[in-house]
Amino acid sequence: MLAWMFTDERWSSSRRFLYSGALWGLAAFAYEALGAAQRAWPQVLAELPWASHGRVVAAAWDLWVFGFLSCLLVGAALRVVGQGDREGLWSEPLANLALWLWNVAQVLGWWWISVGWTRGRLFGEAPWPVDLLRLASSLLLLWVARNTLSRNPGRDPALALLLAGFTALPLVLVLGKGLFWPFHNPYRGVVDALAQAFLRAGLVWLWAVPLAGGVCLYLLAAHTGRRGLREGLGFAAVVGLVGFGALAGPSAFVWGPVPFWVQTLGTVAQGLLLLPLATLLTGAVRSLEGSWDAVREHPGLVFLLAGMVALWGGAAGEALASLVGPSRVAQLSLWGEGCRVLVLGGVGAVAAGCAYLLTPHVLGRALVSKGMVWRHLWLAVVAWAVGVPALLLAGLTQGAVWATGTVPFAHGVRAVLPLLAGGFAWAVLAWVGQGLLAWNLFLTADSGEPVPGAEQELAAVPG
Amino acid sequence: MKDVGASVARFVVAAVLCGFLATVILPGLDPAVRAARAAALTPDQQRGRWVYAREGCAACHTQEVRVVEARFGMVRGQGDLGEGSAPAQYAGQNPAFVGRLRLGPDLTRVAGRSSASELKAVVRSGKPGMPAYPHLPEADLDALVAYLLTLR
Repeated sequence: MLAWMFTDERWSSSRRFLYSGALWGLAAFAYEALGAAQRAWPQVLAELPWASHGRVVAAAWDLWVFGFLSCLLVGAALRVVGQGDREGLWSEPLANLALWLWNVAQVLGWWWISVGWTRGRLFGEAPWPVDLLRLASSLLLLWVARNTLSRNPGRDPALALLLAGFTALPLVLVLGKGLFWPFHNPYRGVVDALAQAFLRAGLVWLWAVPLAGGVCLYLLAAHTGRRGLREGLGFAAVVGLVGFGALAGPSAFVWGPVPFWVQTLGTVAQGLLLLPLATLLTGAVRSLEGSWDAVREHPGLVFLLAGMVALWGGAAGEALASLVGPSRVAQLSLWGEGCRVLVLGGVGAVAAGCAYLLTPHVLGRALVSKGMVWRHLWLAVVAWAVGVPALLLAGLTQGAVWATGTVPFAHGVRAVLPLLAGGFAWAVLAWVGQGLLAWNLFLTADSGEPVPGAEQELAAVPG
Repeated sequence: MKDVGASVARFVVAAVLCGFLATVILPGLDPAVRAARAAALTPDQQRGRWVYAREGCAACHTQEVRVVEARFGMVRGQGDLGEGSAPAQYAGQNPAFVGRLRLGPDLTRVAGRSSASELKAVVRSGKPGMPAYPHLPEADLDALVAYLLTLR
């Protein structure tokens, strides 16, 4: 049993992380759909303690970020990181240990949040044992990634992005969740509110987005034979993403109860984040120049591109909402939810694209159904087209009502109820799409056509 | 990638630490934040606070009156949102329930708008836009109401 769990079989950890991400994605989008349903129809499952809306929202966030996104992206990142070395990863057993720790943490976090054992913080919900397991796993992943990359003498901004993500996550967890004091939240008052904002910004801009950007650029270059970013520009994007991402948290508090200078700092950083994100998007597009035919052959490439576009759009929406004028209407409203769907949905699309593109290189089998991938893609596009405008419009409606100062709050709630159905539709479509991904992946693992050994290697990324 | 990797790692560590220092620690040294004193809560009110956290009320309710809506924002009556929130309001809170999404009314001064029986009825039975919490034990519901009545 132990030999199986901590096998040194090449790419086993990557493969298992992909499987984990596919399954956790089903749970994550199911909870997102439940939460969205409860916003539109508050009596849905209201009598069940584990399904109370607050617990559902907390569990959905935890499942989405740590379960779905992290597992898929880590699986892709480990495969990419190990590509430069003929031996593969520096240590598959340690990477597998990280996998099991991560999954145990996810199961416990899901269970405990549902029964009401939480830290009570909006984005640091899971209780401290879960956080410690995640911290241990993230340190193992950093150790494996670092030692693997040190054997590869190349200078690749995509790999630098991955290393940045693996390095940042343990720090974000320790600082954002106060894990240096594991039995109790060490932060009080406004400092705790700012720490929560730092955690949220860190998990998105310092963990999920660097991983997504890194695997996206690497896989696009490997498939098209064209690296989209010059080395200098690529490393500048790494510096910008990490530098501004670490400062963007307080943008959530414009007009709020924190010192004015830190609101300004956060807002400026949130706006400047658009530069490295635009650089990454440009790099993705330039990789595809001259190879648009490849997009028709590999729908996973479309997922990568669509994901980067959505990510940039969501970041732009968040930056806009943190400006002094627009924040009067957009801050604290469903506009933020619409942007969240774009940002995290964009990262999710990149993660899904990676899973599809890496199937022959990780599972050693050709994807069973490209048709199912196209269907997943169209479901995702329709979901965004329905859900995002509905949420953004709902947010503007809320803000407009609040700005009058003469309309009772309850009237604003009633006005946006029909639009919340759009948010529910998005979540349901995304859940169905995730089901297609999981089904396709497991069908491939079970009965996919084996791929010759030479084709299992990723094409070398041109310098 | 060895030398580049070490440089990337050093930069990330430095950037994250500086970001944390600038956006979390330094604001905590602000005189307005340091001058705040925590209000004492009774054991029942503390328990109510814990129920608020456990049920995730902050997922839909903020406790943050922004400067632009101070003395202007409306829940039921004009201006009843009250004064803008100051750092002192959150003194000692662990965790701080600022909130990020306002699907329900801001609760900063809910005690000034609603009575104990109204609050109890809304939480127990819900209303348009607000789910019901019939599963809450009576003791937890009373404690939650006791906590909400401290918000004025």
